[in-house]
Amino acid sequence: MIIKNKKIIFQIVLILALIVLTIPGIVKTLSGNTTFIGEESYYHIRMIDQFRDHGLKSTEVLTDKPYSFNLFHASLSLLPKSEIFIKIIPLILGLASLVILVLLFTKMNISADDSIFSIIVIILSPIFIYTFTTFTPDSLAFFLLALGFLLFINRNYLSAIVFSALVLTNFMYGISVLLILIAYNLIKKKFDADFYVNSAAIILTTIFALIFLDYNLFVQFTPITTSLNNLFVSFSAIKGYSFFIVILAIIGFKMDWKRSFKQTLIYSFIASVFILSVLYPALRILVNSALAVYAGIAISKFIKDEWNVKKLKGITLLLIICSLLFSTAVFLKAEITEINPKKVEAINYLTATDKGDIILSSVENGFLIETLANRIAYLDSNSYKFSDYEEKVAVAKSIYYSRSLDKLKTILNSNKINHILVDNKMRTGGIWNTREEGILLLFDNSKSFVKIFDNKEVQIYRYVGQELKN
Amino acid sequence: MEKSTKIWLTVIFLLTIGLRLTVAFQTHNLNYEAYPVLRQVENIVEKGVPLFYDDLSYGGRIHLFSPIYHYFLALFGLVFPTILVLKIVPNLLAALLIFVVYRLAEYLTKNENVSLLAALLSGFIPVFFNTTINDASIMSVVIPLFFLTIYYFLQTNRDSKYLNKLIICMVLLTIIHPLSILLAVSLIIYLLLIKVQNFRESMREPEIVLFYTFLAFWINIMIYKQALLMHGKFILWQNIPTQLIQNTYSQLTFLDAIYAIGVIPLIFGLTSLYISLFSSKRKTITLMLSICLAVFILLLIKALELNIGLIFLGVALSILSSYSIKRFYEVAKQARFSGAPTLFLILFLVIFLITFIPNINTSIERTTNGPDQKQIEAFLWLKNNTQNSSIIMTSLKEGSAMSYYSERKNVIDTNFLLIRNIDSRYLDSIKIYDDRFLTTALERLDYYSVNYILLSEETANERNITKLAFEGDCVSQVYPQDDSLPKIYRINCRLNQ
Repeated sequence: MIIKNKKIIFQIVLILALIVLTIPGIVKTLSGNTTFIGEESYYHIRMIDQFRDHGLKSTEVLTDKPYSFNLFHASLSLLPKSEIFIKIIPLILGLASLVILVLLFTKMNISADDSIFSIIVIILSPIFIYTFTTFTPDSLAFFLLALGFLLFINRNYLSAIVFSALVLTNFMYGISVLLILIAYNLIKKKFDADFYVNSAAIILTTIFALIFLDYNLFVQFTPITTSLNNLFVSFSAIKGYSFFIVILAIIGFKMDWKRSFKQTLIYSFIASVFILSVLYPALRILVNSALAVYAGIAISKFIKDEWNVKKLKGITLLLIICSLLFSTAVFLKAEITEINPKKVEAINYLTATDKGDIILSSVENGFLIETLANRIAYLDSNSYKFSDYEEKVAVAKSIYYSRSLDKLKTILNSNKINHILVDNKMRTGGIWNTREEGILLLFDNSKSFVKIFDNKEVQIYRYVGQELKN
Repeated sequence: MEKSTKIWLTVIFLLTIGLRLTVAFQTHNLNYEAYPVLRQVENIVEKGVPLFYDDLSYGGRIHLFSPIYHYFLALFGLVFPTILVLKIVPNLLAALLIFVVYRLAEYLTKNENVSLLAALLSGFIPVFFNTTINDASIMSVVIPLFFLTIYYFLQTNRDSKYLNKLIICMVLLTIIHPLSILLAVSLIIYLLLIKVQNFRESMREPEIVLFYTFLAFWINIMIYKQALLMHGKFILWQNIPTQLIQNTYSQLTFLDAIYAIGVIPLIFGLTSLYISLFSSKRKTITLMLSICLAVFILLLIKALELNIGLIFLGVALSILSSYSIKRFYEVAKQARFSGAPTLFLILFLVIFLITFIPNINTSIERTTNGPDQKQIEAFLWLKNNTQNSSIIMTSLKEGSAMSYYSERKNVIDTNFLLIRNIDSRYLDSIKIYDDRFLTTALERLDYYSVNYILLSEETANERNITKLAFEGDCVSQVYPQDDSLPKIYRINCRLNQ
């Protein structure tokens, strides 16, 4: 037993969580950047506003894309419009989730050492930081999942209500809860009334949502493009796993391995949800928590065990800590610098364009354009859910790297793209390498494009080829 | 080590280094592959820092690399001419491999004579010999260091007094080159194999592997963070153009691979693996097998440059050879015919010489794989007659050499990391020489803002042309005055937008 005073350590861990989760916001505010964290936040702000102004609709008012009911949007639309809520709600949900996780670990007989290291790994994991610093339904979903499961273990029927709410927040989580309940009862070798009540609640809520709330399963079930790039934070994924946590978890699996039905079932469950999470990133925080438990077990064992090569023990632990902190620091920096006031200023300028104009920019700027400028972005982070995604990506690429003005004009006209917003990230490796590559050369040399905005960070070009022709 | 062994080992070292330097000095210039290193080393000598931002490569780009090797070469560059340093020092470093292989073979066989034979084999592995003679390749230091780390890993398992040396080697390898990841993967495979083969479990091995896995991955992720974020999973292929990878792999035949590794290491190495897997188990052999497996997996997914993969296989098989050579030698000793051991040794040396001598010719041919005097004159013409900001289109391998001599921007060279759309850029750098129509050629040239095109003799032969088909008022020949090669064309007009 490494940890003597459990209570104080847990308090310190919670303070650590508070520090980690507030760092991006504090640093942004101190540097005069009042933007929200994560472009996804802007999408949910728009959806909450839509709910507040128009009530439940089956499509997004601006883009006319299918919209699926979300309890997060519905419940927060009842609150008055305030920036404070957007910043504080994820933080509160994050801290509350951690407290519930601590209680859950205690209930599941995970030792104090293992659970403290697991919680530390969770706090330092990029996906946890993303979920509880960004204004997304995933924060509420994870909180409800943890709360529901705690109530379920305590045989409290309120869990059924919590799980029902969870289904309405994230349908994939609803399915995961069903799987967890089945796995849990298989381990206990007894399917009791609790199981049936909770399962029934989940299924009935799904049916209710499908009939009365116009629940769009198509939107819920669209997987993202499978790629390693989307899976690991090191490969630039936003909702991705930390490579080092995965390595530690694999070591933890090996250390904790016992040939038993229970263990096999747990491992199979984690493996299944991990595979599902490749397609559905919302599930990654769930898998991340399971991986963190095993990573915690591994770290705790490294510390407790006597090493044969004593000299290496300290260095290896230092390397583990450094690698975990490194992923966290890189991720925090990326979060802080993702949206800056200059970008917001440029996007706000787009409000001067005609309503209905289509703006081409990087996928990461899509939600910002739609929320701040109230204009349609040609591509946004939800585009992958629709069948024309591949085609749109190909069109965007052919515009960015176009060599022929005639071909470019045809593409822009047929896709009704009137404005192109270019930021420094796109210019410096995001899309182009050099200053005169592809369409950048045409921007400077062709009369078909007029620069209508430039603040050194972002430039907006208006395509006037169609007007010239007329 | 016996005195005679020391003498023989010194003889092998001198033989190796002598032959290497003789071949290297067949030409005054370096191979095209050496010019990126030369530019970095000269920059360090002049300014004290490497070219992390290079405004000539690809018209201006960031280089992401560890400059330790370049600093090491620059130390000698302070005293001697850089080209001389790049010819001698890498060859000296590469020749040190024989000492490492000797140590590993001795560890495996406990036989000094057999270890000497393994050292001899490793000194003349064709693919290693050819790649490190006149290329100033970083492999000259990576390969010996990699196997030295393996040696200390094995020694540390027996005696912890080697631990410090092991840690130093591991740290050095990690900060020098990303191939340290290959060592981490090999060690992980080794742990799995010894578990499968039911070897006695050692506590030290997993601890060292755990330490090294975190060290290698963390440091490499730190150094190559930017490339990881930009290329994602494609970092595994180092952003090498797809067609270039396919060409390299498709051109290799089974016989070429055998020739590159060497016939003797292949036969004896594979025999050792067979003996180890099916009769007597040895941890050292399992470790070599793990390296071969890791290399094989990486070659299979084309995540490792073919030549580098073959070098690792060649060295690992040379070390493994010692085990079966020893077994054959012992069998020969027990034969009724008293001269059998001597006959075995003579036969071994004869086959070694027969298989290696033809390679010397290849090596000498390869040393001409650099710019000749006429080409250097063309580069210097560019330097003296074009504007500083001019962009020159050359073939892929000539890019760095042109930038070195002309001090002008190139469109493409052999460092692909952090370059977007590398596939289309690579194809454009080839197609521009095949273009028959001016408009399509100008489209390409405009895209990269090219001012001059260099048509070297080698490119002309490769593309089967004597001049550019679209030559005319828009693209006119400005060098030389006659019709000889290399030719330089100036772009006089742009497509009207």
